[in-house]
Amino acid sequence: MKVLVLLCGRDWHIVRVLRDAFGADLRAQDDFCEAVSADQARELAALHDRECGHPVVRALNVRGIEHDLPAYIFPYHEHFLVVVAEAASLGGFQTFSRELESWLAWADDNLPMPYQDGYYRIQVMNNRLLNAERALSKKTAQLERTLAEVRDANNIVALLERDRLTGLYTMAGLLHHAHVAAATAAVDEPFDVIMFAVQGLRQVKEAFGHKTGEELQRRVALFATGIDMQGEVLFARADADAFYAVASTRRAFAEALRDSLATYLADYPLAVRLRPVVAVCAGNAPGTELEEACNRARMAFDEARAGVDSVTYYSPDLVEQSLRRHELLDEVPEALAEGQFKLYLQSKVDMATGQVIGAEALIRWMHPTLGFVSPGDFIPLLEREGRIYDVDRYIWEQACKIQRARANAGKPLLPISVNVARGDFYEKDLAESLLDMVRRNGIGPEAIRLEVLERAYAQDSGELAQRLAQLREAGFVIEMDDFGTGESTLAMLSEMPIDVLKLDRGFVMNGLDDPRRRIVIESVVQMAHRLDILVIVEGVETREQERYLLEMGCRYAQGFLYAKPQPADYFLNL
Amino acid sequence: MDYGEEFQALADAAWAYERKRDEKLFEKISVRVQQIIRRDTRYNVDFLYTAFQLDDARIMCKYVVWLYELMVGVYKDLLLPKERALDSTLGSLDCIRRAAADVVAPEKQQRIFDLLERGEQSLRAYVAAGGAAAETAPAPRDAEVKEYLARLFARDTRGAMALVRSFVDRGIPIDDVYVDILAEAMRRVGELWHTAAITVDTEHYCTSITQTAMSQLYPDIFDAPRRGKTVLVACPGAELHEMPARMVADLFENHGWDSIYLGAAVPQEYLLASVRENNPDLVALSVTMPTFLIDCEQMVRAVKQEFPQVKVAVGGRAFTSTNEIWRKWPVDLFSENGRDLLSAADALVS
Repeated sequence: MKVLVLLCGRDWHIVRVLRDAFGADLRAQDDFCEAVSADQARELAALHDRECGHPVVRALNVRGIEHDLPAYIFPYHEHFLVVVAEAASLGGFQTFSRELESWLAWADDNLPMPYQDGYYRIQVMNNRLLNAERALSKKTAQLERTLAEVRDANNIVALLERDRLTGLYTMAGLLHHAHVAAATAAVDEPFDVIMFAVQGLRQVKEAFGHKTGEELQRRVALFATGIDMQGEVLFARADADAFYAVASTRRAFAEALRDSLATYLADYPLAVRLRPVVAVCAGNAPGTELEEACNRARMAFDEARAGVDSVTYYSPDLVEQSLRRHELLDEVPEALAEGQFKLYLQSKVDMATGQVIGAEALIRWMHPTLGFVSPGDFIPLLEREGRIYDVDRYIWEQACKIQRARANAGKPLLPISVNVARGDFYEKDLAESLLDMVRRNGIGPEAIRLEVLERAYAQDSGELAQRLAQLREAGFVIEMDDFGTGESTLAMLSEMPIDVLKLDRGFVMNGLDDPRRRIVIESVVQMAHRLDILVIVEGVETREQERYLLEMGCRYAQGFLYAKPQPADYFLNL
Repeated sequence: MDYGEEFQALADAAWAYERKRDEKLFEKISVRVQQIIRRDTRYNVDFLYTAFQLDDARIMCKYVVWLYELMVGVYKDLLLPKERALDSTLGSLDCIRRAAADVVAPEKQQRIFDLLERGEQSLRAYVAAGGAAAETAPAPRDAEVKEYLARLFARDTRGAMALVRSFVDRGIPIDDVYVDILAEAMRRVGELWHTAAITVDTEHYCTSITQTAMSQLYPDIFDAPRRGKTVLVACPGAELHEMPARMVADLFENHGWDSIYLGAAVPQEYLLASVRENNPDLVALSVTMPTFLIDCEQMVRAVKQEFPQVKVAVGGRAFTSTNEIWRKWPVDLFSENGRDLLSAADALVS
């Protein structure tokens, strides 16, 4: 407790008397001691009364004081204000101080006391606060040091931003460094985001193992970064198979990349055909979100994989198309369940006699709202997405049912050729599934012929040959479709299990009057025959073509001259 | 201070003699003042006990002079002559002497009488020499100390804080701000209280503001590059004067040491547990009040016994009241101030 003393007169020593009387409870401070007149004391008391709004708690009549004036005591914040009037004698004040002491004892019990054992307690609390602040400051400094260490560890961060396999940036690294480049180098010109990959990588991995595939990726990464002599292009590994490059539009890097990469891959020492797939989201305005541009490049890239050889450019149309196709794909399971896919058949004939020798099964999608959907709009996509198998199986099943109907009606055997996609050969139960189908429908495997695209033979041929041999063993006839469009060598014809060669329509359409082309066809046909392989020519539309072909030793054909693809019903009546 | 039955009995008996000195006066004075006198009597016995236990007469001599100076201030306030202060101080010693003859075991009596005699002689010599000892060399930063104290006594809290900051900003090393300005200012504040020039609340105000002013330098202090050394700092016994200890811890931090600061009144078991846990290179104990030197010695021995490889330093104002008592203890370092301790510790702990 603090007592503020206003003295009247000049009796300074009262302060010391009071202090001795009340010990630690009374701290009469020199700077609070003022000598004032009795009237001033009364005025001050009244002023405090008014300003602080504190009532006079108790007025003490101090006996023995000259003039017998009262002392007023006010609560004043945590202090007490004592106004003592006209002090004179020590004896008088000792009496006064005993009164005051009894009053303070009353106050001890009745008034809230902010301090009990005084400053030491406050000091201890203050020390605790300071120690806490000290500990906090120390921790803050430690934290700052740790943060500085993290900032200094650039190498480690750089490692995290690098792809382990190729040493290119990861996606996170690319984004970070593109931002840094944009922020520091003031690159205010349009930029391209290029996405590229190697088509055939999957086959490499399957045929030669994962490590060989990784080696290919590493070398492609090294080669691509080597094209950029100025170090102006940022490269990143986008995902397991593809890369991104970010370059100024003025560099036209996409084309340069595609051309160099095509050459590089053509000479790559692996017996798998490798092609670059390059797509670009070109001419992005400065400030375009890189992630956005990367997404667009990826959309174009998805289209490029559908089979375009040159650089595929992103465009809003592309997105729309892509979106439409993907939506279509999502509807496939429902379309299968509802029978929206229809089997069409196109006859194959013996040109010499005009007799039908069989038919090829083709698919049509009769969409409930879009109407007729071209196979080109969904078949390649299904193949790429690895979802062709269900659709193919549906077609095979339909073909088997037709054959059963023909058999039940006692009709002679006319084989139906069905397409087997490259992806179907990855399905473990392919052979079992086909055999099961023919068995269930009470027909023989000779009723269904299997058409495999020539392109498929080029990829992972060893594995494919094995599966084909297995099917052939089971009794299926194997036809190589679209011969002449792919890169298969003539040597392959002798090595692969092939029964029928279907000569691509391109041979016929490009004009059979060209003697050189005729020589080629003639040679192929002769060689095939000597290998005991049947040849069917596709795309025959005129009698003239028919005549040429017969002259060249061809016998079987398929084309609009004989029949368009028709709903399967007609086949039942042949 | 807890010092067993014998000295407790001595304190009680001395208090009884105090009352008999002027029975009429004791009737007149209030109960509170009586309690204050009783407390002071016990305090006198505390110092006697410390000097006795540590066998260091200088502790008693210094204390008696210090007590006299304190009484001079009190009697000055009461408008009473200085001679009364001398009588009062010598009277108190006499009360203890008589009490010792009554209650202390005979084999200890002579040593106690000797200590009281030495104290009395010191005081008489001091008074004969005209009081205050010869002026020591002027403080290296006397102007700054005065500037700082002026703001403290003007209760200019913000001004005092800002001034400390400005000392650093104008290029005075933090070590010097601590040792030459703040520590020196606090020494003078203590002296002013001792001679009744300022009241105890002013003294505490100055302490609080100075500690807070120090805390604003923490960002600079803790920013120093680390050196992989650790110091553990504590005050032994019931020592509440923790600012010097904190200054030591701060100075070490400022030079890249990590400090574990345990603060005031650290129990011995707690200190040992902390050494065990933190494995410091150096343990520094700070003592301000000579009555805690006994605790300090016990702590030093306990640390050295359990952790012989850990270096131990002692320091603080209490040691100026002794005949280099630390030399009798197994300490590795002693220093008058934190700055000197730091350079010695740097040399010792490599």
